[in-house]
Amino acid sequence: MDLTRIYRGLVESKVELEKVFGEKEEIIYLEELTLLIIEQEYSRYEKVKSIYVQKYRAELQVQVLLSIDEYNDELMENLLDTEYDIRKRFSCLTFTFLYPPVRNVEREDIMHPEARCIFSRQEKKLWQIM
Amino acid sequence: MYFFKAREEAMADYVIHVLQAEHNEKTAKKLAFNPPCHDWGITAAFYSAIHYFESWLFHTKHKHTETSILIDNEGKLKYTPHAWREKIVTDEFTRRGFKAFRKLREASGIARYLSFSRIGRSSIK
Repeated sequence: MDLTRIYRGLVESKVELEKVFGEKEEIIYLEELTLLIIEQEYSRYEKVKSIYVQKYRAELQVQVLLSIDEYNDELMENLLDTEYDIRKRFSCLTFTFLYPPVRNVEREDIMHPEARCIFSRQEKKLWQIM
Repeated sequence: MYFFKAREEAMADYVIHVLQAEHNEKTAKKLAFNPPCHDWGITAAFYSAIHYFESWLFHTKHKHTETSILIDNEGKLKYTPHAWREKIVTDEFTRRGFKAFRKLREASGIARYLSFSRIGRSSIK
């Protein structure tokens, strides 16, 4: 199923998804669409190194790893604007977002083994070269 | 009589949150600009904000974050308290209020887990 095409089409809300998929699977598709949008929105920021997600009960936990080593208020302002827009857009979902500054060090060890990587700048670069 | 007692108890919850918020705020002002204890200063500021938020929440339909978290079919909490609180903040506050609250949580986490190893050791006498 081409989730990007659906996203770019008309299906952007829980109610609309229910019309298309029915109640049973709508939440799964909604979460997948949300992850696509999270990837699209955050990968625009050069300092975003990778994005991991994991599900805890009904909660989507998103960790946006940053290639910086100290707090950057201007960047945080932008990241939180993006987060607010995503939360408002998908208000039927409940999230946590975290933005650990990990600089260039590989800090994937801080992630849970079951966490899913939905974006990695390194992988994207390799993919773009190919 | 019961009404007045219930009202008294209800107000106590509100007052306790405000008192705790003020105490945390004073602690934050003492510690936040004094490394290496800045981490707990920022954390105190975050928990001050939580108590101010909870004092406001007390007069809404939710009353408390922890007791208003939705339950799933197995009787378990659907969300963590932090996630549920942030959802309420998103739904009820302005963008500016949301960002101020979230910044405190981020700064608190970064200060506690990631800053001491960099600046803390050199500050210990």
